[in-house]
Amino acid sequence: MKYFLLACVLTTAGCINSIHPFVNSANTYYDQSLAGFWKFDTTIVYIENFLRSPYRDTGIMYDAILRPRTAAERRSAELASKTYMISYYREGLLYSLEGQLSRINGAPYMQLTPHQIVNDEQLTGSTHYNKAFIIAKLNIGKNEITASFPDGGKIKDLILSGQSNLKHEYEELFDVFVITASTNDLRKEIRKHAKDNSFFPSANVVTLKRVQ
Amino acid sequence: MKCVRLIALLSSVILLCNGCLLTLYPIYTTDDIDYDAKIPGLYRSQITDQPGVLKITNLESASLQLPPKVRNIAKSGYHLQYQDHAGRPLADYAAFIVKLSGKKYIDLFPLSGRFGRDEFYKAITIPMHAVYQFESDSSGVSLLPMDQDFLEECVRRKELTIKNEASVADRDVTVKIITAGTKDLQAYINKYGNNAEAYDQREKQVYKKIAE
Repeated sequence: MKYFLLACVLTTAGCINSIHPFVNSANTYYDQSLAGFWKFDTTIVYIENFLRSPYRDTGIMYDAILRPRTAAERRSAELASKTYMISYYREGLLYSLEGQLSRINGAPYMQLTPHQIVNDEQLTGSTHYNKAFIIAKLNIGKNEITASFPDGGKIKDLILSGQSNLKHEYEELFDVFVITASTNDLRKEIRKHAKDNSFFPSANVVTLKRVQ
Repeated sequence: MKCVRLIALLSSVILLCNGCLLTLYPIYTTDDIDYDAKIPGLYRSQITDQPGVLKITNLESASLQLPPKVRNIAKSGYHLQYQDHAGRPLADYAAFIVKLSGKKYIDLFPLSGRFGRDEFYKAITIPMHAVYQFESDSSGVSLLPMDQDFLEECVRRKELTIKNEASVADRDVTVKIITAGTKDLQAYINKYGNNAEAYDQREKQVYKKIAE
């Protein structure tokens, strides 16, 4: 039930989807304590380092991550070493997300983006989708993580009313709203609202408990 | 280089339009859509490795949840459903046709994505419009996808300036997300619509009408 509510929160109030990431190799960090099994409602979530996961073998340009030769590859390798793979099963399908931790105003935030769906041979539906990035403010305890997702509807209203000049695109016909601001501008905006609880409403909070 | 999309290659489900031009905005406005009541019907694929059946109905008469603005113009749109040979639905689209430079173009917007039932995963993706040249007569229809690589090559060679965002889709691969508005997309189609290289001929879909 709680999983369903999370999905509703993110789809109806609106994920605040960004075309560009909120983090890069220079401002991300790795906390090993997040690795392990966690439980959200009835769903088991497994968090592991990307380079220690089976997903590394399916990654594009894996050799460039292991043996970076250029500055760009070194940045990519650094980011990969600090990337989490977050996996969970839903109805026989294994979903995985990539996550990266970053501090904004001293508080930890987790960026998430879709990675892949395994065992999807019987899936149907269109492939005309692009990945996006979302962010959640974290409160990390020894055996509990709470993730607060921003109120996408509120942010959208602020932008469309001109109260925020965050770069965006809005396809009104099918109601597709995406942020196109740069990583730096995204982080500035989060810093501005970091202490505003209305931006991270309690209705958008997810709690993961460590599986002992 | 072919753009990487949020896809999973499967053996049993045919991938539609691997490299086709995907745009954030539609290629039509609510004032210039073209509707032909003779198009709805049941069509069978004439090409191996393409979905067996294409079912086209009027969008208003299909029992679909559509955004309000789409619902307002649904009577001039189509519901396209690809089915396998057993009649199992594979993918659903809301489609509208526009005439540009004497040719018809069809814009497909996905109504279902290959995400299974995980609304959370789906919420972190951006649905895109796919652009095809469209031909129809009493015997059948054909859809010829516009090629995104061609457009990107024109941009790279500075022959074309079109609004886009470069997004890091897979840490190492940058995807160009075309964020040009409808007017600029129509200008692009008018300029390059007669250029055979602007299309991906390998992905042409040809369907023969088998029922009204």
